[in-house]
Amino acid sequence: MFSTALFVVLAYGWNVISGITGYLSFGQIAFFGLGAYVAVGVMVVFRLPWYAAAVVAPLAAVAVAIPLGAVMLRLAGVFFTLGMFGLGRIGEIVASSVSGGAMGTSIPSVATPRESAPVMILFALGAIVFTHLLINSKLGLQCMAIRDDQPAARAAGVPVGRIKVTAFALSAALAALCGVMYVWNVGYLDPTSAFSATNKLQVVLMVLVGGIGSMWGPLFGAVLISLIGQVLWARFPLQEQVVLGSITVLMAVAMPGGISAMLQSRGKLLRRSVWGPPPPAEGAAGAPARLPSGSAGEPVLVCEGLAKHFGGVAAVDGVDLRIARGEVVGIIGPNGAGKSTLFDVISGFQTPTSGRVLFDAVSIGGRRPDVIARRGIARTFQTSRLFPTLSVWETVLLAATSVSRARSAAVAETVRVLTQVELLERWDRLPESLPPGQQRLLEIARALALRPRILLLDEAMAGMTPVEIARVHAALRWAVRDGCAVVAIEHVLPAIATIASCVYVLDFGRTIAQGPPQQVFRDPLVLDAYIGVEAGALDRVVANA
Amino acid sequence: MLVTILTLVLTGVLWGGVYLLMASGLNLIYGVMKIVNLAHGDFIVVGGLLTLTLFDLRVNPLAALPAAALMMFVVGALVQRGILERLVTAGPAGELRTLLATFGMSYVVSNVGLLLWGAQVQSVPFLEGSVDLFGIRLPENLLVCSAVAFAFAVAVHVWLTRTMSGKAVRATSQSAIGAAACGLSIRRIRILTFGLGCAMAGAAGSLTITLIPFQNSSGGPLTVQAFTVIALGGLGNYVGAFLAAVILGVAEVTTSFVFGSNAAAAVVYILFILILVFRPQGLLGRSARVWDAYDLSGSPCRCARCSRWVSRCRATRTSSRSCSRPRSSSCSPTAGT
Repeated sequence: MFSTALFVVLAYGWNVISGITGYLSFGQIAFFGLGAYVAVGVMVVFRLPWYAAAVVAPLAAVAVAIPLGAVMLRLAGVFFTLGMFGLGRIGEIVASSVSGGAMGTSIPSVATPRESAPVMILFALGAIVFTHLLINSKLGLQCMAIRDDQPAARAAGVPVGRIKVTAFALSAALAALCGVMYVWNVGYLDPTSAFSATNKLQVVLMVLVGGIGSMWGPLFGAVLISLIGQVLWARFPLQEQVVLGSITVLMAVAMPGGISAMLQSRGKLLRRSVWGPPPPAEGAAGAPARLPSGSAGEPVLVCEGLAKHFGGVAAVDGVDLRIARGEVVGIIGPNGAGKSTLFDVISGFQTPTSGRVLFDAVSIGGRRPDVIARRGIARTFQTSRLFPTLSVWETVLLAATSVSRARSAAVAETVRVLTQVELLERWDRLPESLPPGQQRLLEIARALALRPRILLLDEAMAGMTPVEIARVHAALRWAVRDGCAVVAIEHVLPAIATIASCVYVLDFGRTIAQGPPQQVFRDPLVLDAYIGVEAGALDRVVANA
Repeated sequence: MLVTILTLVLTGVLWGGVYLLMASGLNLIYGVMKIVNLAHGDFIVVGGLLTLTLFDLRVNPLAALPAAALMMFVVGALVQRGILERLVTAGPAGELRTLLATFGMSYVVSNVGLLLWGAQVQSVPFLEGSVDLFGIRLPENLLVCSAVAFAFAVAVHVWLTRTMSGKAVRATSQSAIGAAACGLSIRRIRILTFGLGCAMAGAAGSLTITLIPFQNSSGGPLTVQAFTVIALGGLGNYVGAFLAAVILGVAEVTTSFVFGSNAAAAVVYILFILILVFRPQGLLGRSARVWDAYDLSGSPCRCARCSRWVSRCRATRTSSRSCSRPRSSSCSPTAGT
């Protein structure tokens, strides 16, 4: 009973970082070990009762996890996993050289099963409630967005680094709590059991069997696997790890979603949208006005001599832009002209090599993308980046929560934007079930929910039907009326020519023409860049060879 | 003093050869299949324990090496054919699945080792004398093992770069779809690659067990060790991997000499984490890449721009066939579009 409940808490703890946030860690057992050793310290050295240790150890784990997470979580995928694996081993090596070494230490007061089991079950219930609250909160939504697509989460204004570290620290605290309970229950601790490889495997397997990242998966998995584990331990102790390992491989190959995915495919235990469903509409009234930023002629965004070099290649080579409040500007140019890189630099995804980006006369060069997004420069991506596991409602809500503190304000904003792009009736759909045009529309909606003052659209209307383009135009006009300026990269000239007041033409990272659409399209340089591209490129290649 | 330092450095360099062989198998598998085989160290251990069994049957460890390598090749090919091939690697959770599968596999392999060979720490005695070189004493077995390991690793490198079948493997590592379009059987190449990677692990195991004692659970640290070499050298960078293997060897031997073996075990992990955090592009970095065999977009570089630029260059190269200059210049916008 005790050990099953212990595994429930461990499994939910692991699920926070590896399931919900998507950072697979094989080193969370180190925090279990840390908690156990802190507990021994508190109980042996300071002679304090177990509940004091149960408070101190998670705090210690959080204190360790925050700096550690800040460093480790910069690593991508596999590297994080292996790095955490290494940390677990370092923990074990350190532990075997302190406090009794490999022989272990005993604690003065051990719990009786009648004491420890109810407490542990209480903690297990606590972990379930905690996860339920987390999954249905802003933090949980942000974690899931990070798991699905980090750059997109940044573009939606999520402070990715801070959220990841928070999830990591929460996960560590739960593991440390388990360490304390383990020591209190067994009364004895040595490095091998503190950093037990079997426990590590079991926790991973439990979450995998139950359904990684799901609400109820860790509970199912923990109960099932700890039963199997106990039987194996009693009957076939030597073969235990072979069997558990084989189940892990089989699960990963045959049923990666676990029990939860199986139930969900039959329509049971589906995750409900965070803060959904949308409240009944009260009309479009009450839309909060954007902060006015100067008069209509005043530039909101100014780029001065902006350049971005990759090695010896100048992707953007000294571009000057002036975007006024409420203006619609088109950027066109052949493939490789540096249009998308220009957007990456403005929105903070790339740092400029030289030049300045001024937003409201404040330099924003080198700021993090999520900071820039929250300040009022929203963007979409050339190939749409949506969150595969977040519903339409959640995708837009995520962006709305980045700028509105209050829940009701964020919900109202989400309803408003979704109504505008006519996606409200599809609020609970997942992105993959939408046709491509509507997926792009959803990405625009996510950007609009940030209540931007500059909206950067990267080929947002490519591949759209005329009806969908009309819908985008309507949404853009609505945003422009609120004082938002729109900068749109387009290949389909009619898509932008009808609404843009000014068009910039980029080629080889430089502005080769600018002005009203009709004038620019007659410019001989522009015609050469577009129509004469093959001949021009060939001539240049021959000249260089 | 000087003799001590020279001894430490030379011993480290020799160990580097063994580490290089350990890492090359992992590097090959990761390069071609994008799978980090967390069971790699366990395959090394099984290779070593196979050598032990053969040694008990009076087979010389060097003669046992091809046998161990061949057996591990079969095991690896079967694992790929039977398990990994069936893994759904597409989508955002693809990497997670392969990691979980090889994580489970590492437990299966190391505990099958436990059932077959027991948990005791074992070693194979082999050439226990030492060579005296101007006062520097080097163990004979280390000298021989290091030479064999270098030879094996270099042979695989030559195979990959100089032969048609090696070229097919490299093509698959760079673009599986492209290779398939050229009529290569991706499936067969992957089976071959995983088998070969495991064979290299087995060979490394045969050599290592004559140098340091093994037990069934020694695999995890070896996986990290092999991965440290790759991370330090830069994925797919052969000169880098060689330098990294030597650096790791020297670091470990020196730490072991100064602070004892416990610290030497920790130094690998510390080095590993420091590299990942401060120099994720590896020792020599991208510009010093001498061998583009292993896929570039899957490299550990954190900045999105590198992979993006590389993929753009590839597009350029295919679209303008008149351009046959090296990558760096064909990247320039003049030759592009």
